[in-house]
Amino acid sequence: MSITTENNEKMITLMSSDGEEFVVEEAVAAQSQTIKHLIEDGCSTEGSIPLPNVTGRVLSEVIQYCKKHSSSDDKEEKELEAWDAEFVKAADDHVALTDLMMAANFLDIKGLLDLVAQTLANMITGKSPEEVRRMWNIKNDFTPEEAEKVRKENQWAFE
Amino acid sequence: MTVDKRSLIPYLWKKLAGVFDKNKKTDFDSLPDEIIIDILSRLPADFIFECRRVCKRWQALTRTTFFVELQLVRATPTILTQCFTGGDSFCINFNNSKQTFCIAEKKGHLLRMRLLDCVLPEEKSTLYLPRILQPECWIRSSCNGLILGNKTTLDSKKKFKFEYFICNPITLEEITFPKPWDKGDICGFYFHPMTKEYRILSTYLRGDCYQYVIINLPTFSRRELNDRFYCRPRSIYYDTPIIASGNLHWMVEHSYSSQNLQLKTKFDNNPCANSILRFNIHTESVETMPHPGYHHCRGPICGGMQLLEGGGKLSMCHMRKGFVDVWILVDYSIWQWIRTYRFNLRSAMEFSGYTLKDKITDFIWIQNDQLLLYDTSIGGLFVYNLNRSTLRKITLPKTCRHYYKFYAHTKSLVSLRKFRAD
Repeated sequence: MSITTENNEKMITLMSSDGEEFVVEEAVAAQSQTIKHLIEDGCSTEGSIPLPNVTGRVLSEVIQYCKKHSSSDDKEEKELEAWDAEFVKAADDHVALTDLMMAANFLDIKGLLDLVAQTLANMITGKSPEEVRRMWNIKNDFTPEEAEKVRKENQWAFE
Repeated sequence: MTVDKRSLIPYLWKKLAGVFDKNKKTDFDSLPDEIIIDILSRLPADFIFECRRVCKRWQALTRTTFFVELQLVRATPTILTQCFTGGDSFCINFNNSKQTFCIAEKKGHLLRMRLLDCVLPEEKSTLYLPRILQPECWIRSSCNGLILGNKTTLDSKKKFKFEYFICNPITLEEITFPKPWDKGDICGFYFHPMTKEYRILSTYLRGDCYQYVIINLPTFSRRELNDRFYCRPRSIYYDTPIIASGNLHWMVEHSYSSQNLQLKTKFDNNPCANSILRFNIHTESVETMPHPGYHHCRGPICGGMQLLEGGGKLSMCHMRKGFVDVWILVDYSIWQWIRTYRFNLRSAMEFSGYTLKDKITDFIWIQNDQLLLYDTSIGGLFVYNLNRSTLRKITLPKTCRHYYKFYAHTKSLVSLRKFRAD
């Protein structure tokens, strides 16, 4: 159902995978290219837009980001940068950020995708391969022989 | 008949929901390739090289040409440093956001780099430089993370061998080759975007003019440019070309200008109007341009000028009697320069307790209104903040207090595999 507010803003409803509903201005939601295309295709005229792979918790964060970035056209770039920094800080840890990144990727919000990807990149810079594996729950699938080969490859210039 | 798109939504939702397990624990293995690529391509090349040991998937994803090119576009430029007579080569990271310089030092026979003067611990990273970056080697040009240079080594019969090399100090790949032509010298090294080929520009004195030659890699086939030219780059061994706006740039070597009378007259009558040499990478042609402010030139030839890179643009520092003019080429198409700063380096040095001697200051690059300069007589690397007019000295590794040379360089994972096509 599309609702119109007093200032004539068109509102749309987004539904998360766990059934939570969010009513937002169309301009805010349209920062997501995916939602924008759905609206253009007329999918939002009735009922709400279901987002089956974004949980309510993540969706509320995404909306928070979109609201800030749709309302701050005339604001200082620096202020927005500071807000972005606080925003990713509040996301707490790399697991939450990864969820956010998945959502930004699915919803196709370029600014958010760049912001989160850079934050995640900064988090792993300087870590050893073992630390990286532990942090991201990655299985080391190199056999000892292969690991030795990779290690040697790093030194071939000296042979 | 049109299908009502709305009727598809419940079906699509169910289908998508099935893909994503509801109570899943997010880990990297479940992320799609494009997200991993997006994150990893933002990391410094040396760190990505280390990350290839994490798992097979990461190794595969970071080896594609697409990934290597994306990383190169996103990479922040650094300064590669070579120390002569001390035997060490190391790399300085210039951190864009935090505005700090970090210096790395040799450790062990692998020349393992360790950050020495690191302001923020999380900025630590390591860089391996291959053994070839030794005092007897000269870096001539850097392009897309690859370094071209020449070196002298002793062969098995203890005879000196002179050869050229191209290396990527991150992947430790290196190719060496003998001088592929009998005369002339290398001016620079560039990537030709149309053909995706790496090429070398060299020059030699042919009769009374300079002949420019292009050498294609990896075949080493050579092609001479049609026009012969009356000048060549200044001190080929010291001045590496500055790459900006699709051109290589050098100051002109005046003392080596051609003896051809007709060309010489044109050149000698107005040396300042022909004091910057540029080579267009797309059209592969050479021409000379005036240095900034040449309309006010009096006297024979202006000295004390150095080209450098400033925020991706061609820049020039002109030092006279302790004063430094900083010029930026704001509009490349019409060769329009603007003098952005003028400051008194001598008094700034004196204020910090150093004595400046003219003509021995290397201006290295400008980033975020900070000018990096190296003074050979003091043996110090300095950062001059152009906005605040403050000077800060950077401590160089104590192991080698000798002559340093600095080159703009971008760390990349560009592979030399295709150079081995033969």
